[in-house]
Amino acid sequence: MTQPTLSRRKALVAGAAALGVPAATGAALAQPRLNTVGPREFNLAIEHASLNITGRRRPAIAINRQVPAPLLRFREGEEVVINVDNRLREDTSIHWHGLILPSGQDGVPGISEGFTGIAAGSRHQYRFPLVQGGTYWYHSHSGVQEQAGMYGPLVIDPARPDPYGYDRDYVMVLSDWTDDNPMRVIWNLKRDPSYYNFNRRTAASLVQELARAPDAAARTAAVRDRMMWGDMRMDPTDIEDVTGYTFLVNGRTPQQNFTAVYSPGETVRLRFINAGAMSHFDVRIPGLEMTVVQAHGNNVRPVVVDEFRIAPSETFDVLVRPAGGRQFAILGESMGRQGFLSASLATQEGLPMLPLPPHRERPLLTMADMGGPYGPTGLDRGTLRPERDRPGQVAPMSMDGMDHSAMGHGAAPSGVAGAGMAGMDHSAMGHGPASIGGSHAGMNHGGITDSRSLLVNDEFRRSASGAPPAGLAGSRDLRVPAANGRPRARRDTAPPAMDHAAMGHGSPGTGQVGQVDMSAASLHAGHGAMAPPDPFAVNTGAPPGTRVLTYRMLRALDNHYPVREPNRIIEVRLTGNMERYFWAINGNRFSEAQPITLQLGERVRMRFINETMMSHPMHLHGVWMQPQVGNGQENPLLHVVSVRPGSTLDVDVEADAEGGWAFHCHMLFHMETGMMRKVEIVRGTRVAAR
Amino acid sequence: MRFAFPAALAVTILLGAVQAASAQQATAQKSIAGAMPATSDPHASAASHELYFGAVLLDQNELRSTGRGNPVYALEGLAYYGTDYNRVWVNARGETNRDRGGLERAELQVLYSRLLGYFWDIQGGVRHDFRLSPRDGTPPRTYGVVSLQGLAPGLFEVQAQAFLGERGVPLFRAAASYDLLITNRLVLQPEFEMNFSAGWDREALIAPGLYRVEAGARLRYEITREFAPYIGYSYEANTGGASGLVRRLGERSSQSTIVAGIRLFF
Repeated sequence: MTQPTLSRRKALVAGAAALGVPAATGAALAQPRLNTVGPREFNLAIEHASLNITGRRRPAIAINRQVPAPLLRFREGEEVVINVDNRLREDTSIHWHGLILPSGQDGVPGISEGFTGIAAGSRHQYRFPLVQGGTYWYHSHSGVQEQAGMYGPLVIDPARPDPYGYDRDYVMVLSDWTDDNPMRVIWNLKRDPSYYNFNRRTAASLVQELARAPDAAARTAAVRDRMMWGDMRMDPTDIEDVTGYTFLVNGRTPQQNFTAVYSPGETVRLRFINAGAMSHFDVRIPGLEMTVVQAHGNNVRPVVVDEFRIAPSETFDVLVRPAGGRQFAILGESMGRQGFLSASLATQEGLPMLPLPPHRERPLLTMADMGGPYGPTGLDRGTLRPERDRPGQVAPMSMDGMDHSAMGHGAAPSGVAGAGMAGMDHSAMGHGPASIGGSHAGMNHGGITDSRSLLVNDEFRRSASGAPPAGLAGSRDLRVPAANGRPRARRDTAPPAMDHAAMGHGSPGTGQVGQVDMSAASLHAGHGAMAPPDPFAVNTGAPPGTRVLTYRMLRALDNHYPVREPNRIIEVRLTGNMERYFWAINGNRFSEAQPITLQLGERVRMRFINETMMSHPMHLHGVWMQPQVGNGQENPLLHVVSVRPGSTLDVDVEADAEGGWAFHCHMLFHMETGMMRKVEIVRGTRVAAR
Repeated sequence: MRFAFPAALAVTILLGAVQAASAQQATAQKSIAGAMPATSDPHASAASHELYFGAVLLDQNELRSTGRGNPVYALEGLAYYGTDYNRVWVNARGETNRDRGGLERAELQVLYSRLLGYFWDIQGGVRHDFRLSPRDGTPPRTYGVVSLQGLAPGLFEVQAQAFLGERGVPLFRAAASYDLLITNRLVLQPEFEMNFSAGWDREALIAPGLYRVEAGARLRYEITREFAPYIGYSYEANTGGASGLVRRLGERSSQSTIVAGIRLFF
């Protein structure tokens, strides 16, 4: 790991790093001379450095003596060669996040074809063509080096000019800095998952709640809520695993105030890249609306928003038109409200930062985040051999242990939900229904009904939009090949999530799922409804009327993949153990998991089921992810899909890139403690079914 | 300080297992940080991705005073090292003698701990009760241990341990504690422990049925997670037939003490 040794030379390096280099100035040392013949060559040197963000010099990892690493500016259609010198005392690697390239150039040790990392003291040459344009980034894929500063922006100028104009162009690399050794952070979380949480609910906060409560019923509800969480052994305040971060824009603290300079009347492009290891940011520019023109490197139909939430590793490009020569604050408040990142839009550099607004209310997890009835699980997991959940890797209140046949699918939807909860009480939570039943009483069963239909919107949308309805649930059973030989008995009794007809819904195929969803989202916002959450709702705590970006608003300008039915559904349950702080996919940590094997050329639907209480930005290397947001041919192409707690979300993947690809949560410590898989895309014969 | 030596001894015992393992730590960390070993087999490298880590918790590290005579130093703690699933686990406890200052009782458990379910570990291993003075205190005993510990609904830390000694008397211990957060740093921790026996072991002051009870409440302030001074109250009693055994030695069968100490967590 990073050693806290400080040579004089490195201290000087740190000085430079601490100042930061605005990426947009193009001062990158890595940038080669132009007009050379053949592939352009870039040189990156990775070194230990020390960095002073908080007043203490701390060990960091710099590329070309910079944190963040220098901007790499490529051109679509060219081929580049990148020479990486590893001057660390440990192995390293560089992954080109979001780039479509051969597996061997993807830079994930042990997963990318023939790549085992770059050994200490050695040089590695990457060479690949650029087949896309847009805003991306690069970072270490070895251990926890990314948290130590090893990340940088990467911009590919498109072959065809973007269909929107702008006068200025700034890269905004958002990141989180901790003075703790990143490996130490994992240790701290392992020995006490609440190590960094000093906002837990306490006796003192209960007294305050009771004092604020308007009536006896509210007081009872407050106490019951505490007991319920206690019975579940979960913590509703667990929004961010790690606190104590200083948030940076292009390596600068809020006080150092990175400034994007504009002249009145100009349109400014801001390329937001969340290079934070563990932090989601709610980004806004008070006084300015933002037009999102690109998401994850792909142009989208321009959509005007007031704010957006950016998960780790996401990128969003926005256009703004600041007017009047004013100074605007570009704010990013962390999801758990531990701090802000702040930069400025101003007509000159060197201005002091604008005062930060008060923090928004810290969110609390609700029963909805715990996950409602996810629908049946036990589908194809995409592995060659059968795979079972390992003990301790799935939270006991998940619906997995529930007896689906007892749920009464023919009953009225509210009855279904009620039965589901009762089943949970008995089988998993280990206490009588009375202790939890009371708190159900006040919940909105109407809401449950509504959003149950939302969960499964996809089939209806397709049937409504004229695509083959195919008998929905019934046909799904046929379509899913028995690829991994898991016992099928449960599926016989438990229809797939899509089985609405059996659930007694009316005719939801109205094609208005989006609207319904939004209302459901607002219905559930901020209180503990039992319904499974709308997977696309984004609740930033913004005042009513604020336009907040959701994936549904993203309409790809150039989704070259034709709409077609997926070959099969692959179940990707996001699981893990909050008490031990490890994370998993389908109840198997990376260290013990089989690869997920896809056929070259097939289209699969990954059904993400988040059985944990945290958001997981799931990143699949090498191929695009198409969340089924209901925009048909315009479904966005993303390299990471943020799956919020308790939700179920379908993402289609065209397996068009052969080789081994990493597939993981982009919360660095979730990945590092197990939420990762290898995805193998193989040519030839069908996956062996046993 | 009279308790300095035994305290140091106990800490040394506790840290022993962790230190022994720390040599591997460098290797483990290297495979984490440096990603993968020099092998082209991705499955081999995946297996090496397992994280090794450890912790030491001195939950009770305190002086106990009845208000008369010398205070007693007492320690109760645990340490572990390993992976998510498999750990070497050490439980240790001991206290000094009121009159002589040396360790009066000391118990050490060395266990293999295996994750059983989301909130639960099952453990097996050896417990040894030391006789530290050749003339005083209870005799040495060695037991085999099977233990279940975890977090029960309501956020109670619970532990159930069964012991079988060479004398064939099975013992059973049940313990529970709870962290009541008054604020995010001020924590009241009540704890309770009951010891049962299926037979007599008079020398060791063990009688059939419930033979020993400990209860306490400690109020700590977590200046950091690692360092938390506390004050509290502790009660311990030899009950049933054991109370007679203790009285025969001329000692009280129960006592209440005020405690003050520092909880340490590494």
